[in-house]
Amino acid sequence: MRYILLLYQDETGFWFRLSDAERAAEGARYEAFARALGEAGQLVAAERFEPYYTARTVRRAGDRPAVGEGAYADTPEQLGGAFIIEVADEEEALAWAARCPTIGHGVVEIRRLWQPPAAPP
Amino acid sequence: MQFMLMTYVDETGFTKLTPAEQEAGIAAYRAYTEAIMAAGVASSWGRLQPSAAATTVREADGKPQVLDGPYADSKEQLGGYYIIDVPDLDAALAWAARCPTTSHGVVEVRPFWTEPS
Amino acid sequence: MAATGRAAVTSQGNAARDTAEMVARDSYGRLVALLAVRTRDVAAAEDALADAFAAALADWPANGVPAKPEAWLVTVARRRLIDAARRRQTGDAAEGTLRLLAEEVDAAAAGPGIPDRRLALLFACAHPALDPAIRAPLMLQVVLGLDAKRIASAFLMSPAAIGKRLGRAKARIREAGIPFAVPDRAELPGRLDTVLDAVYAAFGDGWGDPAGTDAARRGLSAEALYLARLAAALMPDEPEALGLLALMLHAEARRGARRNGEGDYVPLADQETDLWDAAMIAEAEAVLRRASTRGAIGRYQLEAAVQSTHVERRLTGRANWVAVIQLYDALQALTGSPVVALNRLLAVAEIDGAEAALGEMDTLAGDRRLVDYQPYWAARAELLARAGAHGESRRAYAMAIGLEQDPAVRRFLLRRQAGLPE
Repeated sequence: MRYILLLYQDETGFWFRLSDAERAAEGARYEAFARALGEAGQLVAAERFEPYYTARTVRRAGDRPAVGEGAYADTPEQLGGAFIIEVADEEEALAWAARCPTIGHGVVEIRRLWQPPAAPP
Repeated sequence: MQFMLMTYVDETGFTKLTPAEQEAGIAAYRAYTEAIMAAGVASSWGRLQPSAAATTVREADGKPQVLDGPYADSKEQLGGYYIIDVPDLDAALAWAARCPTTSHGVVEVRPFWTEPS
Repeated sequence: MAATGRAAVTSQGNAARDTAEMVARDSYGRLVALLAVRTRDVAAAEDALADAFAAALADWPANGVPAKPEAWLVTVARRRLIDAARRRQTGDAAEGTLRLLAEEVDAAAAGPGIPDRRLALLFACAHPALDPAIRAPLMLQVVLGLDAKRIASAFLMSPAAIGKRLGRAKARIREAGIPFAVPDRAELPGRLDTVLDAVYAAFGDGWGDPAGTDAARRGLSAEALYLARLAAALMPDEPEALGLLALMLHAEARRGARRNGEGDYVPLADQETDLWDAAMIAEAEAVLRRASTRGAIGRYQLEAAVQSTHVERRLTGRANWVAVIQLYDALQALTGSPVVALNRLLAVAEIDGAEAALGEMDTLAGDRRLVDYQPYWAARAELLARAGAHGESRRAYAMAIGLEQDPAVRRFLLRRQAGLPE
């Protein structure tokens, strides 16, 4: 089964306040986490986003698309990245989420993915 | 440049459509997905199961705390994503504008982090 | 468990509430077991008992605590059960069952104390027909009355998920005819193992070194220890039940030394032994001695003996790694567990050196069960460091760090990694 681990953290309150050394240490922890997932053969993708203010939202207003600045959700913690993993069951997905560095200062949401159909020709 | 397109929708909306409208909606998504994949723009995509089935994990007292439900209690919830590779933000926005979600929800376009040179 | 009703402001009210809570804590399992043993309907028993506790909180502050609080509760609960069954209009068979229950409850209420059917309850909760992952949570809920939310995070499940699974398990007990009985002699050894394994699972990850980095991860160690004591008390002649208790007592006795003042993790070799609970260690030794008189060695007794030798080594300063290896050899023969093999290798390293142990470790490296087991990578990292392979050690520490949930243990591993020479 595939799950996506959505990583929510407070970018302004936490991430931007870290010193360079602290940020490097956090980065190393994420690398270790990704490496462990890779070693277990369960890593499908590991993505890290640029900060929330680089996001754009697109809606349709009448005939035209309307582009807004900033991320969709106005929550205290922002979506900073995601891991997509392939596991045997929800328990394994939760076990990985519990190891994810984000939970020390943020929240990890896990969502199961629908099995993708065969790729279009 | 790599971006993630994320679709946010009101999950209750689909059930309010007539069967014909639902079929049309599904066909529109299928067509969009085929187009974005065939163009070599999207390397992968995913559709998330409903937010009611989500689980969140936080830490409390050095131990993981598991809770039901999605992180954000918002009306629109993350329903799917496309990972795309395009020359620039404008190209990403152009693809976002084609996504059927824009008629009934929001598409968020987020660049992936790149190492500073 | 449900405790509704208005808060009593008088001191009599407080005393009543305290008694109810004390009865709850000590007797919940006994009362559920008595109420469920005939109908096999654990959920109905729990509901009826919850109603009875609510009734107690309303009645006792006004009319005083009864002379036999448990008898009062079980009588009220029985009435609720019978009413609920009548409302469901179940057939003649159910009426007969309920009549039996009513007679038992009357006898219990009249007698010196509530009979203890908890052993039957434990065997029902650990029945092979139930999903292995739900057995420990089920025991914690029905024997101790822990609520689902508390249990959920400890087992890394969401409250809704565990609620659903607990409900399914209780329905299964009722519908599949899972017996509330101590199995007969032929079946007993295997069935006893599943009970003990579930109690152990309530304590920790079930796999690894209970007093090592995985210790007390669940935050339910007091409750798990209660279950172990209960199992040993209800089966005083079963050596493995005694062995499990001894093992958990050893692990619990050293808990105070596993974290230092700053909340950092302290491994066994570095712990301050005067922070150990000497009385609990003495109790563990006594229990283990009693087990050994039964003459039937088993997995939990061996694990407890390993803990015993660790304690002896630290207290006397005398190396006894040969004895440790012998115990692990016996465990390996019994269980074939890669975790046992791993711990054995660490003992081998103490005698033959890191390189010899690393040589043997290659046979373990292929075991898929270890690939996401943090202590494996931490052990590997340490041996590689001792053997001078610092680059490989750093990578192995990175794996261990990536796999560790506990921030204190992570900090410990990070410090070890940072301490490696370039």
